[in-house]
Amino acid sequence: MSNYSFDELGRQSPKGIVINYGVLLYKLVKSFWVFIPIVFSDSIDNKLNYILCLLGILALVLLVVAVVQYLYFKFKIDGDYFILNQGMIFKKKTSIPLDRIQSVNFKQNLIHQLINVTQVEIQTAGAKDIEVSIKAISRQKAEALKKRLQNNIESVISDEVLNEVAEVNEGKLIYKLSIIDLLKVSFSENHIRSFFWIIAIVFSFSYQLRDYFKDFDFVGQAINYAVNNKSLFTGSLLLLGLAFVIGLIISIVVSFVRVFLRHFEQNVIKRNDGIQVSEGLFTRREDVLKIKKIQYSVTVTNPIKQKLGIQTIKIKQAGSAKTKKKKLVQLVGVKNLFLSQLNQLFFNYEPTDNKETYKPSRYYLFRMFVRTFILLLIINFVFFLNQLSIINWILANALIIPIAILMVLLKFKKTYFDFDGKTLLVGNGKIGTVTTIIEYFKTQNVTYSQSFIQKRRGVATLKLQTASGVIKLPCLHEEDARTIQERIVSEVEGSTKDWI
Amino acid sequence: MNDQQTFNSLDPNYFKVVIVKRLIFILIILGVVAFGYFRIEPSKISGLAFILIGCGVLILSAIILFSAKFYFRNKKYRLFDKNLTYQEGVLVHNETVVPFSRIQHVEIDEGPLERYFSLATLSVYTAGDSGKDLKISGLRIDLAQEIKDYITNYIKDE
Repeated sequence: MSNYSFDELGRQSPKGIVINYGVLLYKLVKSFWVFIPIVFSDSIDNKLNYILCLLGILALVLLVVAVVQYLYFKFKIDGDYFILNQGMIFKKKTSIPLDRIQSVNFKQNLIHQLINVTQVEIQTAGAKDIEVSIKAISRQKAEALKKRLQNNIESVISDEVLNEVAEVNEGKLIYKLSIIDLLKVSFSENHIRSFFWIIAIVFSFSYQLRDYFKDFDFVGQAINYAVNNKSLFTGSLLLLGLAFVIGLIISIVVSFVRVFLRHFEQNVIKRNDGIQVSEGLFTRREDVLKIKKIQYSVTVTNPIKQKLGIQTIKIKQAGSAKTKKKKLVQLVGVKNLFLSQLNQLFFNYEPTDNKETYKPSRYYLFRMFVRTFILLLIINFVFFLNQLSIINWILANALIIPIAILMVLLKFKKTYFDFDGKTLLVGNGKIGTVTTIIEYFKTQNVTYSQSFIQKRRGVATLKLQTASGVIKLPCLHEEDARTIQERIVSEVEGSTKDWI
Repeated sequence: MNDQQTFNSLDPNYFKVVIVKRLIFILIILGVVAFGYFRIEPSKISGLAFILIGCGVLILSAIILFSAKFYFRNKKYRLFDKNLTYQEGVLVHNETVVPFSRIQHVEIDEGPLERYFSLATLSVYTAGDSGKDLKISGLRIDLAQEIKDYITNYIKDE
């Protein structure tokens, strides 16, 4: 056993000041980044001294804040509670019952790695979510703390688990993402999404960019040209095509970088009550998922991924709304065999032949068409405002309308709700295919929702609230909706299993 | 305590609470319009525009008051064997079933206006998205307390 004691109130490592300072600076830059270009513009030259002075004072103040944060951040383990005191002026005392701690995660970004410390994040779940993050302690101390906290969890749960503690610490590697798989994943990402993202950024910055690149090179000239001769630009198909190709290449590069940074060397280690996922190129992330805590999973694939035989699995755990997005664990490049293993592990689910399949009513198709029609009207109104020439207008519509209709039909075709034993599978998707798998006894509450139009058509929407967001079953026939609602409610009421 | 099979309406006094709340809302809107009338110089806004705005506000007020009836009538609850069900909504009608076994905690709130009619709001929290939980306004205070105790006991016994 380690020689670290957590019985007395103790501080984190003094290196924590560096991390605190880094976080503060990052927050400052993040909230004022809009003003950064001003510092570099011409008109400010004579005031540069003042601004540097101000920035210097600000940096000093933040340093003091970082030190104070460090000095007043103390924690200990007192009996069955983890106690954390923080703050000089606004004092905050947190106490977490150890048996409420769901998981203890480590995180190391580049700064952590440079000064050789670890960030420890303690996650809990309950009516009011508490989340604690200890910014910087040494790896050994972190391990000791984790052991202390988790041993407590296990001793509370049962003796059975205690016998298996040795095995817990070992773990078993069940999945490792190779470089080739990683390349496949990057290649088959949704580039169109990143493409639109880049377009949005380019357009919002093009006006500002014009100022900077005016005297420089041909890129500036091109942007200048584009901004000044909007009508010419939209008219020139060649230039548009060129921009599209360049944009697509950039999007693919962005996808590759993003996937490599986030998912490099992703591997999954199985412990007896959960799995541990670690991944990342510069910032290694380690997430521990307890199987009980997993609410549902979403499997996403697209035609290219299907050809390559891989899919992405998003694992939804119980947690607060704030942390949901961040803590979302994604397994990428998952092959079919591993997918069925995971379904077995998470939900005890194996596909059977006696599925009960429900489809949304045709009214759902009708509603999607109406909504698409309204969207097309708005788009055409924008065209009208931009005084698009008749030929361009016809071309644009000839392109958009078939795509829109195809999307609606695909979405209707891919939407289904399957009951397979104790598991509910919800299909969704347009070009991609999305499958949500949930053991439906984990539902928190069920809402049967019907607008006055839906009532006339005899359809209703079911909303299943889970501890990790809502699952919608849109536009079912009334009697189907009632059957499903009753089935889920009676399963929840009858179940004695823990949902968390 | 309640009829277990059918849905129960809220306390009739709650209709008065709804009406008073909506009247206050209308008064505020009228106040803003009147304030605008006296502050803006007559030259900047034509008399016709003002009459139009006035008519709009009156029609809106009528709708707000008139719909209160449906708003009240559509709110119903049912305390069943193992779940609490609540219906509400005028244009979109929602019926939410909360099994007792998923309830985290129960709260009772009383606003000043509600307290005058000895009414209370019962809030039921599950681990789903906050804001999507049940809030039943317009229960008699003793009834709300009774339901709360019933649910709390059920959770404890589990």
